Amino acid sequence: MHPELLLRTILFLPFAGFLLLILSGKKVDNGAGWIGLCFSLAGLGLTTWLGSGPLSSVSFVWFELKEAFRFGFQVDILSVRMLLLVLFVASLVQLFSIEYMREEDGRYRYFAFLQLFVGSMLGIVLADNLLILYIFWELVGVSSYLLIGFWYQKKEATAAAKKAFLVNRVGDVGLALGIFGVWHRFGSLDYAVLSAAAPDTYLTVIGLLLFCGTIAKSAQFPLHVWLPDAMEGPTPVSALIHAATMVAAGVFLLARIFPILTPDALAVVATIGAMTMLMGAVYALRQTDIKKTLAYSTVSQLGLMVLAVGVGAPQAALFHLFTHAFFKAGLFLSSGSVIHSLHHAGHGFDAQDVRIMGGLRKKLPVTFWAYTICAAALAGLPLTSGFLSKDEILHEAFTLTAHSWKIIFPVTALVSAGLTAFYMTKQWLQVFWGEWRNPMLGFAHVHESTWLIKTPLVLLAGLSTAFVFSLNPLGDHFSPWVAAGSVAVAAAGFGLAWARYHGGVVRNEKELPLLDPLYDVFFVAPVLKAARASAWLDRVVIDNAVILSAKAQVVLAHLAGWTDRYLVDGIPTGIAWLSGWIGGMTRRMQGRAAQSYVIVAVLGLAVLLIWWTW
Amino acid sequence: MPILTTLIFLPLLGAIGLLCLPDSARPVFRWVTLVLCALHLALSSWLWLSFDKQLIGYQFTETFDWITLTLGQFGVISIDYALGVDGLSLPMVWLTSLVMLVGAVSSFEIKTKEKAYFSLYLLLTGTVVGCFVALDLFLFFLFFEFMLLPMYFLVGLWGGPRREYASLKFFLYTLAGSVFILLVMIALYLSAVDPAETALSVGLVKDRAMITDQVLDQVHLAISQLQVDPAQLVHTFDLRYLSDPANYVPESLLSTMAGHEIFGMSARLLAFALLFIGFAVKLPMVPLHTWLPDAHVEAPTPISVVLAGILLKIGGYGFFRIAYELFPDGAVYFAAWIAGLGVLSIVYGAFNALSQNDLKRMIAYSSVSHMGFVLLGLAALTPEGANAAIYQLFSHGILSPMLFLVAGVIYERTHDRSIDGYRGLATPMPSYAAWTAVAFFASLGLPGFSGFIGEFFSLMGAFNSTYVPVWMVVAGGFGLVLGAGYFLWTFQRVFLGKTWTMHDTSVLTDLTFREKAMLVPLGLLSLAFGILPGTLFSITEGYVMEFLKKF
Repeated sequence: MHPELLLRTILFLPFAGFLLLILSGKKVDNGAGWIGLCFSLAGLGLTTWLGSGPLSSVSFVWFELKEAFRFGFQVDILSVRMLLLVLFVASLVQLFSIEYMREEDGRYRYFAFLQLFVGSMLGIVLADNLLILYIFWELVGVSSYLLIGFWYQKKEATAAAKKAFLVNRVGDVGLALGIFGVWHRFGSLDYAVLSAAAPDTYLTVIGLLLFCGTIAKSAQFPLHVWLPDAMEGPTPVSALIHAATMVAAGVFLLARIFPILTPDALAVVATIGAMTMLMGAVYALRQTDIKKTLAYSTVSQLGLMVLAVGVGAPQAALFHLFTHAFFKAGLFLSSGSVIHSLHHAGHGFDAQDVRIMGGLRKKLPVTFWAYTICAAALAGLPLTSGFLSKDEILHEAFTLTAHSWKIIFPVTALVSAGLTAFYMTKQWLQVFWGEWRNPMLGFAHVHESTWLIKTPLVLLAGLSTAFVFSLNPLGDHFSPWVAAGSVAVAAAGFGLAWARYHGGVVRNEKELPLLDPLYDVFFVAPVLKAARASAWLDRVVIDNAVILSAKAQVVLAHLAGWTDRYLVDGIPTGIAWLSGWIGGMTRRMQGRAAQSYVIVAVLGLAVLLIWWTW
Repeated sequence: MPILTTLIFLPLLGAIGLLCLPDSARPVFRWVTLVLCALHLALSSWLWLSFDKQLIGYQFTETFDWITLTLGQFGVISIDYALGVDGLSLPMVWLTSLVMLVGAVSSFEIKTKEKAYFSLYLLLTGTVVGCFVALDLFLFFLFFEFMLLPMYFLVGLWGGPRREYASLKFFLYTLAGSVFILLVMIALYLSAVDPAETALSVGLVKDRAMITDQVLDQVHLAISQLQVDPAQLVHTFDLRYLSDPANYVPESLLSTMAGHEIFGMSARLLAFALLFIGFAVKLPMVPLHTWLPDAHVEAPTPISVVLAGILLKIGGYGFFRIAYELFPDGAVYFAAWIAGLGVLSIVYGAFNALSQNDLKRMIAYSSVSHMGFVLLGLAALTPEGANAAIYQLFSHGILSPMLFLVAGVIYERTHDRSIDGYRGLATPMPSYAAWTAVAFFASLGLPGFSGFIGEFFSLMGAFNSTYVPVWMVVAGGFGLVLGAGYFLWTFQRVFLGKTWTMHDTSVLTDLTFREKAMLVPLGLLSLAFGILPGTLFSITEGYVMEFLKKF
């Protein structure tokens, strides 16, 4: 097949899948997952074919407004890899979902929205200019909204969906302004023209505005607040969208616009990344919800990627994006497997609360091993993929910032890595070790799910090992000092967690205060207050001014009528007639307005004519 | 067949025809209207397809002398019946046909005084088309004013409980606006001449056919040197002449050369401001908008559809066609103010929408907010901005009917439009929820739908403009967040969660075929224009290029 046609087909397939499923409705509920899976596998196959041929791009004029706006897709190594990643993880997630969502109503909707998400994500990956990126950027936002709010009768889910969309909208406005700035500066939106040949403040501002898109989409401080809430969605969705792919789009965007990020802008990017990484790790320490820990961990890892771009190592950031996608999807699906098993075994308790788990390694061996491998990768232990990518980031970051204040960034990353090892160990111990702690459910009832759930876990665990990414398990950029440091830190985290939680001990730990109440006070409340104030202004001030002016006219008309009747009577008929005419006119003005404009017109004409001839 | 005349008079004749039918023919009134509106749309579509995008200027022109009066030393007054369409008016004409057809389907729910209703409805259709195709300012004004009559009765007779108040408010507001327009019309009439007719009247040529560019230049020269006897000047309302500064008599009130002042303000700037206010009422622009929520709340659903879909567009059209084309100097002078008022409308309208509990009122304020983007894009005077302003008019013409139909669906079932009167409607009414979601997402500017193009490129145009300060673009961008806020919040409250309502749940039936027949095509059209914006931009672009040369 011609590469161009191939590319179009790959992009078109998920949208076709979306339409097919959403239009078929409930009657395809049973087969929806398989249909969706077929579409994604077909896309995966075609992408492999595309990647094996010569890489080309497709671009056509979308519309013209003096300048042409192009709908363009570029195929390079990065975009092909991303395509494979998205389609592969999406396929596994759909396979997993067939079992996980088996008892839900409206599965056609679920799988249709997944297809919509995949299509939009592919668009982001393939876009060759910022306008196209923006379009698909918002479309992934809406698919995320639809999927978080899939259980639309659940209040928390709908609130979380709305929150996710609105917080992302804030970032999107920044992104849009950045795009306007690029258009203004470069006269084009193509990635190809972006360059910081002459860095100045204007360019810094543009870069930071574009970065706003990343802040929201990749859940960076201070717009990270939507991601933990987004866990209200089905767990496979969290794996695909809120861990592996969509949230990483922000990092992908940064890599694409890297050429126009000025040193000043990069410093801000790195700062935000470092703060996010540390903050996410700290919040993850105290979570009791199995998914929330992972959500904060995602926030933290995304911070690491952003930090990597910020210190000037976008390639390392992208590498971590890939490894993270696999091990984090693996962790989420493992947690999904745990939740699913508990759900199946009984009801009436919170199946996501790690405090009432324990010892599950005996009952869920496959899940346990998958979780263990993926958690090791997240903690960055040797022989895992996470070790490779994190070390590459640390190595580059230390090299690039060696003799400046910026060395604080890799140091922060190292500290956070220690925390990561700590909270992962804690969760691992609490879920899989120790004694079963849920009195509401007999331990014997818990058992592993079917192959539909296990297959994705095994594959993702396999892809979290180092050998997939490099023949040399120590990595191509191995530097003994950094590796030793990071392993030591991870070991320290592990050791401390072991000491504190071994045997799956649950301690009474207070949750950390969230930023959300602050946002409610400083943003949501003022907006609602402004809305009420506007409504008051509209109803009371503006409208009453209008009514008052109308009433003034009535009074004036009565006055004129009164004058006409009682004062003017004695004055010669001609003047009386004229006044009467004016009085009548003003009276009609408020009464039967239909004709009055004619009179005003004639009067206006008369005034002008008189003035004209003067 | 003169197509534009047909488009105006077909519905007018239909209105008269309906009046002639006996009352016993009651059931057919709606069908006659529906068929006529469908025919109207077919004709407009043919017009769209036959329109030559390459040509600059008006097409399908029809010009007849209509009124000619000799006013002694004030010269000769010449009013023509002149029609034509260009890249600006063509989309509006098509939109009129579309919205009127949708409104006709929606009007099936009208159950009282059908004869009067449907003849007024057709009368409205004809006058609105007349507004968009008139090339003579007098003719435009005639249609513009005449439109008020059917609207007044359609709201005042078939509306809700406070219909008298709302219709009178609507009437007086618009009328006050038109007085401003009328004043400028008179001044224009006194200032501008028709060079061709003047050439005939002074005897430069004997026959219209002999008029060439040279002759016109001669006339312009003679007028500019005040060599023509004022009594022989042929004054005109023809917009094609009014938009050319060479046709203004030197020393006349609105001549670009004379620089007359009224109350210490340049006469031309004042004239622009008056026109602007006149059309801003119609758009509507904050703070001249308070008639709109009242009119919408009281109007029956089909009239809300028409009001939001078409009548507001006349305000935007008037900005382009009259205020901006005739007074480009004023447009430039006030550009930052206009952009500021646009941003005010966006943000203020959105804030108001956020705090409403009446679904229709919320949608009405969202219209105010969306029309702010038109002002912002227009004020920018850039290709992106001006095209996007037209696009936004068009897109809103598709989406606002959808929104009002959505509000009408629930109102028809329960006679209650309060947002807090419902929860979780998605469960009993899944199709309704789905199409409402489409309407809401399209309206909040989701890419893929037409709303995105209008909003995004209005902002982009404003950003690129030398007239618009950047902070205004940022504030307008904030409007995008608010827009998502009020739509999603409303959706969450009404459709999501566990089903609850204070009404009998048995009336909560899903969409009927007739309701789907309106919502689905509108949703698909918004999608089509969102995916292929070139369909519209290829038509407006030529117009905008010419338009921007004036500035």
